[in-house]
Amino acid sequence: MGRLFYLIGQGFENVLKNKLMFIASVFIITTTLIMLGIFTIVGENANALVEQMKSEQRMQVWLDGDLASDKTKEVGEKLKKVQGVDEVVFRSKKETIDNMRELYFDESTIALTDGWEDTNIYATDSYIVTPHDLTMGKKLQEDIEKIDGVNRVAFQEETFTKISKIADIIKVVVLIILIFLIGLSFLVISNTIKLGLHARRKEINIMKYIGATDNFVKTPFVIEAIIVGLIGALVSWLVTIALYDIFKSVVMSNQILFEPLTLDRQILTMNVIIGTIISCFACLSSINKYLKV
Amino acid sequence: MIEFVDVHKTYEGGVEAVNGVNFYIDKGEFVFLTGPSGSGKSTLLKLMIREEKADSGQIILNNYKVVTMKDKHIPYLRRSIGIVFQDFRLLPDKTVYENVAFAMRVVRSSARQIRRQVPILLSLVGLSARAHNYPNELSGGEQQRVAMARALANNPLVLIADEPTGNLDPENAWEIMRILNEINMRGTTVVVATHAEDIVNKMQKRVIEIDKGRIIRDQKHGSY
Repeated sequence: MGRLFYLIGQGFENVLKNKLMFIASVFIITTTLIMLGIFTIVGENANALVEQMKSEQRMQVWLDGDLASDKTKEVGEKLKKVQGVDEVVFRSKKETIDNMRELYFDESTIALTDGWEDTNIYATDSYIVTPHDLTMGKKLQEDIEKIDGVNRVAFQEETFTKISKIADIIKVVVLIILIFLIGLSFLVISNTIKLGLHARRKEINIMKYIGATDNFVKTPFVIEAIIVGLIGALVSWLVTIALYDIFKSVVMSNQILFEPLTLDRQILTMNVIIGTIISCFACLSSINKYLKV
Repeated sequence: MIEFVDVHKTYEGGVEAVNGVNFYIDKGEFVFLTGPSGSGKSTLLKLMIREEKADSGQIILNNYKVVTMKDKHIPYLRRSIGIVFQDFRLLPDKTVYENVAFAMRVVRSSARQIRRQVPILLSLVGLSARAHNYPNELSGGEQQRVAMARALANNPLVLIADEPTGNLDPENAWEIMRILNEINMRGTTVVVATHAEDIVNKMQKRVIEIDKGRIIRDQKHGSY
């Protein structure tokens, strides 16, 4: 155990004795992880935005004009049981007419709507239905129209399909770019660690000549790589979150109708995992060639 | 102590560095390996410490069968040998004290043993006052003395030196040889590969001369 503490201590000592290389390595790892963090934030928020748009797509199920209230309720219950329906909200005829007045008429023209409650044949009781899957809109429409009491189903089929496709494309593009950036991070971090080891290959050789085992030589270097990866991960996390907080405050202050996600923990976890594991792995995989003396 | 039995070593490209070498070095001997550049002196030393592996034959060193031993045992072989190189090979970011102590750390010596032994070794090579200096703060002669102290850290039965005076001026060179002689007088077997003609001539130790990978002379009290 004492030997292990000694070797870990040597790892920390190596960091202090090779300050320039340590700073350079941390800088490179930090920069790489900031890029990855920013893209992750952009990607996650893009996905969330599209999901929000999807969830705002509704179908309006218009009922027959002369439907009794108990029958109206019965239709509502049947709608809830239709496969593919997430949510069902009742909208009365009065609500619909009030809504139309608010959207399409002003003070000078509102008088035109007098008596609509009795004369408007287009505004009836209705249900606002939220579909689970936008691509199944057409089938859902057909299933709902079979229900007794339903007059017609209104929804923008083209919009449903487009939004659904966009959501899928964004998911795939984000994933591909994320995989690419993770691969790039691996390459950059890995090469940074390897360069550091290469610069100290003579030192590694000397230890082997004196009779040090491979593990005795490797351990301090692995500890050093983990420290570099961890500090790079933490610094990049702090910078990324600070930038994101600035972005969030801009969004909030401009009343943009989208709430950015909270991703602090995810970014930290991703950075720590990628930073430390890649550093450690890169060290272990590249130190071996310097041990062969 | 050290035995070479029909050892052959050919490098890539067909260079026969060692060609059927046989010799025996007994415990407590002081032996010079001499010969022109490229004769195979350094290769012999590399074969002893398994930096290179012989193609055939056997090398017995401190009861280790060096040619056939597994790679994982090489560190243990090297711990039983003290090695001194022409270019010193000190750890640049460790002090003189830490460089010598490192050799003891490798064999799991306790902190107490290290605290006791290192000052004795530094005193032996006359560098007690330089314990806290770094290698780049020392002269060539001082660095080589640190290397020797490190080589002695684990009380090796054999000390191997590859051109230990190659980078030193005559005064420091003789100082190194004086220390090596003193080490030998205490019972350690010493093997020195060298070009230093005047040192070999003056010390009159056993000389094994090598040329083109073969031993051409083995003389008890020889000259260069």
